[in-house]
Amino acid sequence: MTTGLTPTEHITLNMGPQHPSTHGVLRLELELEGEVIVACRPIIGYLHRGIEKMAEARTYPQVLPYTDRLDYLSSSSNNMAYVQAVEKLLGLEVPERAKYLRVISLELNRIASHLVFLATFANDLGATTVFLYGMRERELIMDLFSMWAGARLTQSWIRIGGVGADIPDGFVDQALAFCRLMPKRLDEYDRILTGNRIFRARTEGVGILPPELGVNYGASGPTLRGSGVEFDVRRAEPYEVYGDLDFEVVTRPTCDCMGRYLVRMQEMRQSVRILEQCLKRLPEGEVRAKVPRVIRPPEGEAYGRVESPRGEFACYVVSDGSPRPARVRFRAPSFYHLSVLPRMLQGWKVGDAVAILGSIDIVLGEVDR
Amino acid sequence: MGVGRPPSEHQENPNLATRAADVACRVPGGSVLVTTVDYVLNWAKSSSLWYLTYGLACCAIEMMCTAASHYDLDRFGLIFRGTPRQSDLMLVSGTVTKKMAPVLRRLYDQMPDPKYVIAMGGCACAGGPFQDSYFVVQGVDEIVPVDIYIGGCPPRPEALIDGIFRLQEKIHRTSIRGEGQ
Amino acid sequence: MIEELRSRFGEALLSAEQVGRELRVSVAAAALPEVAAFAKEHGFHYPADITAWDAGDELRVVYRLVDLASGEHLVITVPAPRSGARLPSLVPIFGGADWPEREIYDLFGVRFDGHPDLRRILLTDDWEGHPLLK
Repeated sequence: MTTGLTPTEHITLNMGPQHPSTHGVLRLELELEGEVIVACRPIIGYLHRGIEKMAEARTYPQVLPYTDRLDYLSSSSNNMAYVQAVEKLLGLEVPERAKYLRVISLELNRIASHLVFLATFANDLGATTVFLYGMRERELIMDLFSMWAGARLTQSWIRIGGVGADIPDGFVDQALAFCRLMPKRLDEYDRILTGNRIFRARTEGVGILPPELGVNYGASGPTLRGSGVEFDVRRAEPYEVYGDLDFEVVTRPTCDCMGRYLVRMQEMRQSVRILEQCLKRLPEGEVRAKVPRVIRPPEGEAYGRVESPRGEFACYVVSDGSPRPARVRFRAPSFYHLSVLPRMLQGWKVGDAVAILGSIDIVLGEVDR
Repeated sequence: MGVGRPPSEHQENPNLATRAADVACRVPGGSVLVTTVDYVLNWAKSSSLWYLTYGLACCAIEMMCTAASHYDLDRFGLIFRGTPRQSDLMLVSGTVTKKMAPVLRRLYDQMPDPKYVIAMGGCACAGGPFQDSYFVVQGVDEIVPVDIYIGGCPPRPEALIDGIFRLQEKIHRTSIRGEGQ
Repeated sequence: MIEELRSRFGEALLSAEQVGRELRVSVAAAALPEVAAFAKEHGFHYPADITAWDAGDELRVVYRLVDLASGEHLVITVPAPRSGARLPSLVPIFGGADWPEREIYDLFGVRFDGHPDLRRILLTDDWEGHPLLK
């Protein structure tokens, strides 16, 4: 709107690295024409810890705890990607029970991560109540994690050859109770947030990511599925027991923040479905294959690929035949999502930047590595 | 970036209050007055520790959990603020890298006195698992003075709450006559 | 696909093998943009991963392109000298090559000709050296 009195001013606005809505230490340099964003330069690296370099000085099992600290909202998927790559190199077959336990761990992590997304996304848009609700349910999952791994965030429970230890007594019942509770709580979130007029006004039609652009920029996960592309690693390249499980790949055709939000909300329901199937079918048996004391994979390279809550999380491991990897590279979905962010922000107002950034659900730990 | 630890910056210069307290203590019964003033001030400082929303890494998620419904930091008078200029407490929750260090120092400088720092987690205390990384600052105490160290990777919310209690105890030991008297 | 690549690129195709669902090829740096464009025409629209590693005597830059419809992977490895390497940029073909190429420049020192904004991405601008070189 031009009033004819004050010409719009061209200013550069720095958002971050300390900003409650950047979800960590991200800095966005926004070029503004009045209130409209004309250009955006994400500046990353504030959490670059050199994990890939350190991995070269560690033995194969020693690298595992570092993977937890990449995408710290879902440490299981990071463990899984790395372990999958190493197991491919070793040609290791994992016991059936361990495969089921891994899927249980991955899906619980997915719900926990999406709950943090829900909590922070709603909080950024002004709905503080939902933040408290989301964290409330997350604590139930944290209790389950504590039962098997002793840790809440950084579990390192998925190990080379299986899982760290079998689940304790009472775990299955508690997990099933959670599965019964969660759909009711999801209905509650839908009632309080999804239909809310302010929330809808701030998300519907905002931050368009055209599907071709998304694919071209390497976007994946709910960010890409919110643009109608049916790509899910669990379906495209089933690992563990995902091939035998019954679940839907949720997509939305709207390409906007609302689409990405709804995909995640629906995915939590699908995860509950997967969990119930796994908990009921859980076979008896060993939880860890026989692994040599010193892991020395033959020369070669392998690419472990999983669907993390954020998208395709992958690990590329190159072995030179020694007990230490020659190269460990982590392909982080958030890294690619952030690189397409400037295209999504263009033309929107500063206030929308928070909504759009929140809707791609980044974790800086995996972006910077 | 400085390598050595900076001198304790919490030691305020002898200001009017300190000098007045010194005078008061020389008068018979004056120390009672000083103690009472101390008590009131320390009570106020320790029960309204507003902390800076400043998540660095994994520990930030645990900090969020602690602030949210289940553990609820609000009941101890800890409320998060989005700006350093309204904060009393900096919770360094996570790994400090060489790129982040100048920013962290600047945030600390922008906080008004009295200010406190809690180093949460192994990384903030001493580099944690990233001891041999080329880009990680080995402990946040190389940049800002730290009051309380909490170990763990990441510490559980209970540990963070315990750290906050320790900080409150530390505040109760201070006097307007000077640090720790 | 291998035959097609061989007839089209001849000498520039250094090696090619099919490992499971992965087609691993090694090409000379000069032919990279054409190979990538050729791959994109054949359905490899999704740049899954672009990275590099130090093999001791040379650097290997690895491009992993995925066909989302069929699930096939095309892994293109490009050898490069350990210092002063220059490769053609793939940003005009894949937008997703932008940040990974900056990262490879940052961590390995490989320069990409034709990249719109080749700056350090993770490390500070005044950092000396490239940490992931051995």
